[in-house]
Amino acid sequence: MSARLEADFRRRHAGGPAMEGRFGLDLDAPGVLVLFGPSGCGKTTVLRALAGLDRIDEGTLRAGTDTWAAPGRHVPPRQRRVGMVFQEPALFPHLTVEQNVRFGLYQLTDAEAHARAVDALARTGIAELVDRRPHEISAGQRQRAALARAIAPRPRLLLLDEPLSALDTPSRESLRRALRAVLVTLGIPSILVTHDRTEALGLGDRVVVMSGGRVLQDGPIQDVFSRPCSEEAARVLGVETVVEGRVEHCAEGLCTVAVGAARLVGLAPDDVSGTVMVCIRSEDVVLMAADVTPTSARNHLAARVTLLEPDGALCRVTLDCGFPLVAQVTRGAVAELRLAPGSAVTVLLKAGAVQVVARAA
Amino acid sequence: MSVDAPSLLVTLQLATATTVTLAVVGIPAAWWLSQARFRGRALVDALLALPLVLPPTVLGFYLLTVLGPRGPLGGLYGDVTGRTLPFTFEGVLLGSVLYNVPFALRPFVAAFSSVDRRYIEAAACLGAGSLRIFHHVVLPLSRAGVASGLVLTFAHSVGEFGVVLMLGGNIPGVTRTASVAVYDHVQALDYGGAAAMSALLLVFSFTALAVTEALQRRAPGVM
Repeated sequence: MSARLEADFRRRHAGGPAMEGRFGLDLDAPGVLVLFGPSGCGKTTVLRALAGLDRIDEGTLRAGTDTWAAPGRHVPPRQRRVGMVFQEPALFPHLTVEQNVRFGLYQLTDAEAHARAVDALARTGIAELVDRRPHEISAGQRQRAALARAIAPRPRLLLLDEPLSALDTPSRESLRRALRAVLVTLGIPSILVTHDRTEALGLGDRVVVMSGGRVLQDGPIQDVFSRPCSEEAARVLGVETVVEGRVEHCAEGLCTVAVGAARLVGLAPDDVSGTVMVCIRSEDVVLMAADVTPTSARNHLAARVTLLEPDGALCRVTLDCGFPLVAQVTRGAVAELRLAPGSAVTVLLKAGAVQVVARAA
Repeated sequence: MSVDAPSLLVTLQLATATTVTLAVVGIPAAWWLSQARFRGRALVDALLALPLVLPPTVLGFYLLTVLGPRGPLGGLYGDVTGRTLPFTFEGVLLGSVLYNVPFALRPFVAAFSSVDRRYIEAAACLGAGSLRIFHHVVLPLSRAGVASGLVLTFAHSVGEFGVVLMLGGNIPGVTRTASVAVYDHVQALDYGGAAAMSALLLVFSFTALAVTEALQRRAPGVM
C-alpha cells in the first residue's frame, strides 16, 4: 500500500475562526496539490501546520505510518522531512547562496553536500550564483535559491506558500516555468498554496478549494475548475458568471433551468430543485454571428453586447442574453464578428459548460 | 598621587570573570528565554530585572545572609570546599554575576528575539534542531546585540560598588576594587588618589558606552 498524507485537522487562531485542513495526497507518486482560495481563507495556516511550524487544535495529520500531529502529539518540523518555500525567500543573509542550499545537507560529507547543492542550483537555473550573498541577487533569483535550498535535502513532501506572489510579472512567469520543470523532473509530491488561477492551472494536478477556513471542494484540477460543486466554490474559483435560476425539469443528469428571460440546459446533480445557481466560465462561451444554423450545442441564446474590455490578446465581453453573461474571446474574433456595444450575437453554450449547483444557504 | 594598581587588577579580574560567566550561562539562558512561552513569564522577567532597581546594598545584604558560613548556601559551600564565600574573590564574583544578570540578559534576549522568525522557521524545515539553529542562524545574526551585552556587563561590573563592599569588604588585592578604592581615598581625605581613579573610571565607562551605542547601530547580520 502506498504512503499517503492524510490531513483532517482544525487550527484555531485566538479570536478567529477555525481553519480546516481536510484532504489526502499520495506521497509515493509525484503530483502537485493546490490549496486554492482567497487571502485569509486558511491556506497558509494549513500549510504551516503541515510543516509543523504551528500546532493543530483538533483532528489528526498522518504521513504514511507516522502521526505528525494529533491532540497531545506534535512532531517537530526537523523530523518531518518536508521542504518549505515561503512567500519571501527567507535566505539566511549571512550565508552565500551555496551555503544556504547546503544548510539542510549537514549530515552529508563535504563532497556529497557540494554535489547536491550544485545539482539543486542547476535545476533552478542559478548555478552561476553559488558564491553570491542574498542581497547581491534579484528577488527572482533569491526565490530560485530558496527553492534549491528546499529541494536539496530531497524532502518527502514539498510545501510552497505562494512562492511567486512577491515577484514582478516577468520573473513570476519565468519562475513558474522553472518550478513546473523542477516539480515534474524531481517527482516530489508537492502542495502549493495560491490564489492565482493561472498558477493553479499551470502547476496543479489536484486542487482543494478553500474559503473561510473550510474546504469547499477537492478533486482533479480541470474537473474542479470546470465543474464547481457549489455557488461559493464557483465564486472562489473565479467563474465569471454565477447567476440565479429556477429548475424546470431534470432528467439523466441534464437539467433545464430558467435564468432571467432565458432557458438553459446544463449538467446538474440529481438532487437539485427549486432555486439554483448557474455557473458559466467565460472561456466556455462561444459567440457566433446573429444568423445561425443548428449546432450540437444545447443552448443558443440571442444576446446583445453591453461591454468590451480588451485584456492582452483576449477580450472580455459582457453580454445581455436575458441575464448578464461574461464571455472571453480573442481580439481577432471581436474584429471578425464586428463586436461593439449594442451589436447582436448568438451565444452558444454546450450543456457541459453550464454547471447547475445548489444555492448557498 | 598615584593610581592604586592592585585594586585596578582586582577590578579587571572581577569584571572579566563576571563577563565570562554571564557569557557562558547567560547566552544559552537568553536563547531559551527568547523562544519560550510559559505561564508566569512576567514574574521571571521581573525577577531578572530586579538588580536594575534594587539597591546594591540590599542585594549584598541578602547574599551575605544566604552565603555566610551559617547561611544555607554558605554552609553547604563550606562543607564541600572548606572555605567561606564572604570576603573572598569567589563570593564577590557570585554577587557581581547576580547583580549583572539584567545587563547581560536583556540585550541578549532583545537581540535573539529580533532575529526574523522566518529564518528560524526556514532552518527548522531544513532539519535543524534548536542548537544548530542557534549556532548557525541566530547567533551570527545577533552578534552586535551579544557584543553590546558583554561590553555593558564588563563596564557595569568595573563600576560595581555596593555589592562588593557588602560582600567582599575592602581587602587589598583580593576584594578591593577600583570603585571601593575611590571611596577609601575620600574617606582618608586623599582627594588626589580619588581623582586619578575616578578619571580613569569615567574615561573607561564613557568608552564602553560609546562602543555599545556603535554596536547597536549596526544592522544585524553585517558584522
